[in-house]
Amino acid sequence: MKALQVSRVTKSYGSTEVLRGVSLSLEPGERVALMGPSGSGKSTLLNCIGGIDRPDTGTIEISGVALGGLDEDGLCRVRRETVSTVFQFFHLLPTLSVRENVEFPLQLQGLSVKERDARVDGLIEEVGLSHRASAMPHELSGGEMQRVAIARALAIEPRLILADEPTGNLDSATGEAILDLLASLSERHGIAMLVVTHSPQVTRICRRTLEMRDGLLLGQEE
Amino acid sequence: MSVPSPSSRPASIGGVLWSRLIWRHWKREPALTATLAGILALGVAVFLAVRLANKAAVSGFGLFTESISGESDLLLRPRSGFFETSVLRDLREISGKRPVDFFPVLELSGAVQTGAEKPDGDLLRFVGVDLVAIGNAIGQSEEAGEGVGFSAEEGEPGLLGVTDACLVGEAFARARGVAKDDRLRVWINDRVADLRIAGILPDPANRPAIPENLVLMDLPALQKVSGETGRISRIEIRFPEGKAEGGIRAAASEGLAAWAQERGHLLETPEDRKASVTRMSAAFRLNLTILSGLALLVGIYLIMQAMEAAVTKRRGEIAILRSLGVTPDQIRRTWLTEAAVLGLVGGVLGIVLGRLLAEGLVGGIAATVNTLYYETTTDAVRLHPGEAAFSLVFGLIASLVAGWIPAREAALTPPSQALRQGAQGGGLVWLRRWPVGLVLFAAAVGVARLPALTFGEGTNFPLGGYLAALLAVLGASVFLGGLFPPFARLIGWGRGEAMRRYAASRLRAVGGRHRLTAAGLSVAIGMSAAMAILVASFEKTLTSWIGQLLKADLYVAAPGSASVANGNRLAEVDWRALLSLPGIDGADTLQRHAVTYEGRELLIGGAAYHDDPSRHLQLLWIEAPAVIGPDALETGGAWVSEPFARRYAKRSGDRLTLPTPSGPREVTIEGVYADYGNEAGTVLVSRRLAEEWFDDRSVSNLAIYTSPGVDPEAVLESIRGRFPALVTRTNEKLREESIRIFHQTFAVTYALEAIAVVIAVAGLGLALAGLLLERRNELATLRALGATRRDIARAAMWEGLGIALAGLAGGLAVSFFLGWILIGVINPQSFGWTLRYAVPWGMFVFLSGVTLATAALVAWTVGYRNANLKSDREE
Amino acid sequence: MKQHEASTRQGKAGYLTLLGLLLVFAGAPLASAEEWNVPRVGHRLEFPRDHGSHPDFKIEWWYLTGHLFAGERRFGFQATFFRLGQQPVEVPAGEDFGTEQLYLAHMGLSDPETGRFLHEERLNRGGWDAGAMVGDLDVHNGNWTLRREGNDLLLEGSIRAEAALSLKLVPKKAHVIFGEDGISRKGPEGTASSYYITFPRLAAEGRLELDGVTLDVSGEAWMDHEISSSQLDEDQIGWDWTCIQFADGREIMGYVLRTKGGGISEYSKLVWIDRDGTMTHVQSGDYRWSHEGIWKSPDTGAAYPVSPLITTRDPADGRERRLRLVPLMEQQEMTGGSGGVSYWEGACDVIDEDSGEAVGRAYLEMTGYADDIGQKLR
Repeated sequence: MKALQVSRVTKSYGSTEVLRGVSLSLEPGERVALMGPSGSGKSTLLNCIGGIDRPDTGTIEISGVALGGLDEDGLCRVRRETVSTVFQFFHLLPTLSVRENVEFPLQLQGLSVKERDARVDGLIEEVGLSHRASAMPHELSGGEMQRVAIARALAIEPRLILADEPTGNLDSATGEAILDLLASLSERHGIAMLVVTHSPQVTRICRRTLEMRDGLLLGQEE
Repeated sequence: MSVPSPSSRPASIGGVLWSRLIWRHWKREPALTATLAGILALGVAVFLAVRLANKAAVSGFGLFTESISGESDLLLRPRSGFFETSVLRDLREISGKRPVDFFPVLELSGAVQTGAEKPDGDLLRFVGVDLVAIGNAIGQSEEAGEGVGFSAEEGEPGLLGVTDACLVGEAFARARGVAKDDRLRVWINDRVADLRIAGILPDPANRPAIPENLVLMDLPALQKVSGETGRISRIEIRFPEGKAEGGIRAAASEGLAAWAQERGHLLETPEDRKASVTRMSAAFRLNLTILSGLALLVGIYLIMQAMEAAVTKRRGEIAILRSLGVTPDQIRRTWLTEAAVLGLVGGVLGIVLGRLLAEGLVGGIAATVNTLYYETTTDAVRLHPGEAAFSLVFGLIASLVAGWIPAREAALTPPSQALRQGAQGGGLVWLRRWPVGLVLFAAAVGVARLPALTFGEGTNFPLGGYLAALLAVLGASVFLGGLFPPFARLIGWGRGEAMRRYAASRLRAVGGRHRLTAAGLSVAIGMSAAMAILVASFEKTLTSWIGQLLKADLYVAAPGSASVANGNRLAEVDWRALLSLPGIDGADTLQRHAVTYEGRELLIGGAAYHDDPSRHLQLLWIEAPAVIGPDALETGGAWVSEPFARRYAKRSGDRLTLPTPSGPREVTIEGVYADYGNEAGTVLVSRRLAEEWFDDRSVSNLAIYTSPGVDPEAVLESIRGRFPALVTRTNEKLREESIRIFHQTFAVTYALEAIAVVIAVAGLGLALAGLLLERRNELATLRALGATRRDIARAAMWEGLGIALAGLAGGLAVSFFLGWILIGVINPQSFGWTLRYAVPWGMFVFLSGVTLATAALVAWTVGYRNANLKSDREE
Repeated sequence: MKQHEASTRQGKAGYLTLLGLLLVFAGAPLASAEEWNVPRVGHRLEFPRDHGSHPDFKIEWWYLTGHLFAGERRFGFQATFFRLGQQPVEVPAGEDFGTEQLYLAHMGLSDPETGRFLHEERLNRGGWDAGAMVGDLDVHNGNWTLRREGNDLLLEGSIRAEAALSLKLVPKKAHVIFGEDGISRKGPEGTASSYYITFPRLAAEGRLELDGVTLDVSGEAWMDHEISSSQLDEDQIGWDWTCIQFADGREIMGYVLRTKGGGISEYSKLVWIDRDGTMTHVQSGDYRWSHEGIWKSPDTGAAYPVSPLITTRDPADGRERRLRLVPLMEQQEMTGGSGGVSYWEGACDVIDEDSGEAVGRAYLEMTGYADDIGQKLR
């Protein structure tokens, strides 16, 4: 079973065709970089995969579950249990502490306190922030915030992580460190990862690099 | 965008800023802008409505002849009782050859029997004027001449020379469904009469409408049917128009004034008379007006909150503008302009709404004035331009006050603060310091002890009380900021549910906006709860008062509604016959006479008590007399009601000189008793004394004690059978009736509070909508993390609940103090009533429950509706 | 010819008082002479008793008109007190608010210098504010009074707050009684007649307050006192009446009753009064009244012949006299209050049409021009 299977997805906003029949697939644990200029459709594709947006035609399957057949709550469940997103601007919940941010998706899943505690402590340690577990987001540096975001993304033990410019807001040294972290965690937990980026350095941790132009993946057969 | 240098073209930059900072946002968020204008409009509307309704409710007072023949120049009336008609000849003599017109008026109360569903009848005002002479007044006044023609067919029975003809206005005919030539069975004074409606008077074009309860008769006919032969209530005096009017008026007035003074009569202008009568209810109406400002006060907090939100949201833009060289002053002016425009729009809407709302309030206000003060009939609500302008200005000021601090904050935005969106916005600095609230509270306690301001003739205004209330409310709104952390902990209790925890985390980090919203709620809740305390205290006091007072088995009264203006009586022959019916052991009897004492209405009561010492009326004493018992008054002393004692600063041992038809009479006060039934003030003397003073042996009320073993119901039936026109009630029925009337007098108050709470809860929704809009990125994150729309709605609900809890707690806390001010300061100072403090816990639970439930519902709905807001990055 | 006048006022009063006063009169048929006393042939009037009120008759009035002078200024005035008897009613009359008598009064002042015509009307029930004494002349209505004091008559009057008049009136001539046999007949019915007592020339002296100034005034006046119970013929639509006071000390009282067909009733009369009070009666047909000098009222639209020419034979020398009445001002119309009857009552000079000389002064009254008063009376 593929971690992600996108088949001939199209999406238009008004008369603008943003996706013109995109197909791609990720094996479990596979990391793929998605590059392309602004407006080529990368973010729209990511939104469709994350269930934030729905494609006009085509299908998206995550770990064998077709998103097209799910209602709003079903999509929420997919985001809650199967797919995590890591953002360029981190998007931590500003009024929750580091620990609470990481714990939050698990709480949404309805896990018991005990289960949550066990998993959250491990994750915070994994991203190297045990010493800052009770800090508030505005007390953290950019790199630390992205680590928290990564820990939060991993918390639900997803099959797929969607990362949108994860290093876009970090200096290059910190960026490298974050990429290493992502690579090693995906390796360790066997999580597939689709990374949208402008940065060639990201391709370092990816097995494949896809290039998008005008709503199509280069080299893809129409 | 090109921004001209502020120094070179200061005029045009205002426009640019306006369009950039304000107008485009309004266009983008029409619902939010409309809600703000709506809140202001509602605040202005309530304020205006109460003022208009106040006016309309008392405009119909007393001077009925005004509707028929225009306004008189002077009124002449005795301090008590009636004039004999012979004074008219004296008046003509003293005015000599001067063209002065005297119009005698006999005014009596009466009732019409309207059937079983309204057994106490409805109070009528019988006015007798000389129907021949009144034509001279109408003929003289040019503008009055047209359009009042009353035509009749030849051969019909006439109006003059018959005793049964009466005229009524259109409103009377409409209200009672009667037409010309119908007959009315009425009670006038102490007797029953059968009248024929000889005509329906059309309402005059440019004078007050003919009151709905007015029955007009020819003076001698009314004298005859009422038994008041040779008597008139007052004389209206008019001076003809013309070049010599001033001289005639001056000379004649002087002579008349001297004449009146020599005889102890009152000579006044209609304006004076109206003013002195309406002053009686001034305190009540002022209290209502102040309460009506409540909605606007709540509104101020909400507008401030919303403008804070706007500043926060547009801070980035402001920062850019600042870096482009726009001065802080220009920014401030722009925001104040926004507040002003909002105030104007809301104000104009409020005027329209207020005009409509007033219609609904008039009846309630009039009912209270009728019950407690004097007879009034409502006039159509008119939108007085002055009142409208006043309310508009009031709304504008409220809006500017609300906009002042956000404007200052906007102006303080540094140019360097570039594009840092979502910073927790401002709020009043002092709002964040909850100890400031304690200081305000302390000030409130101090101010509450100030004595009342006294206006002429015994009208007191408890300025200190109102000031203390305002300070306390402000104090509470500051203090409640300190309540957020504990409530946040309460809501986030345990580590259970994700959204609850998230909401609690937001509440821990509250900004000024949460505080302002909660403050608005606390004002509304605080005042409402305080009024509930007042009502409960009143009710408790009243209930025990009634319990003590109402010891008899049956109560009989002349027909007419429960109004202090009801002057209907039972003739001696009737009440003596009534008391001789079998099964009656004895009775307390009371006769009442309205007199004018130091410029205000006063009731003199003549009481005679049942001679059974264990069964007679028991008063509730404020200052108990040395002797209490059935014969205590027979020694010639007087007991005065508490409102009287307070108004004129009298106590036991003081001597009073009372105006009576038989001349001034002096009595000594021997006791002060509680009286919650009227605010006019009552002096009780023995009936024997009153009979002598007023040469009147009728009574207005009877409290009947049935013989042991006799069923009161059976006696009631026999009284009803014999005297169907009388209002006869059992003890139980009268108690119910009293409580019903009591609640009716508070009806308007309830409505005003409800509006304030509704506004406050709506404000909560508005604030949350603003907050969610600001947190759209966060909402996107939540969605990305798998939160459903309902999850987000739930988070909003918890957050709303937190705000509501803080507002509620602050409001309830301050309400105890406000209640104390109302009961201990404002009420005794303006009404003269001592009340026992009672807290309506049940009501508080209900109020809290309703507020929290509504707040939760509103917040959840707002959350649900805004859950799918697109984040900035998706736009 | 004031009887008709009074009836007119009855109708007017009914309309004026919004409260349906008309009913009082309409309900009491005018031809109820049986219940009222009527003038009797040969009855001897006694004075001063008969200057007083006669409440057993239905209608009575004291009617003063005159010309006043104050230096260069000249005024015309009218002061009228009516008594209108009512049918018995169920409420016994109280002495303060009587129901047996109503008192109507009218006051007018013509000021040709300013062109103002001031007037006021009043209606009161007999009682505290209006009444007339039986046995001597003493009538009052509000602050207006007229009473006898010795040989003199005293009048106090006012018009709103615009004017006030206080006059002493001294008869220059004894009163006369019109009618061949002591009663003045108005129509074919035997009862339609009156006792008609007139002071044809009274010297007037007193004060007029106008525009804040008190003027000493003097002049001459005319007073009618008429007592009756019934009048007015079906056929009559109005009348023109005048009293002329000649400079030579003689007077004329004359009227024409206008009929529906446009003619003049045979009951029209003209009477010459000599210096010694001797009367010469001129029957209808022996004098002419030409309606000339039309003035159209801007208020009522009525066209009044305000400058009539009266042609009659002078009993002194048998010469035919052509007498032209020239009004001091055209606007002397008494407009009725609300929907009432309007009429013209004004001061005039009398010009001898042949010599062109002013030979005397007159008061002229014209009714039935503004509306059909006959209908209102029937």
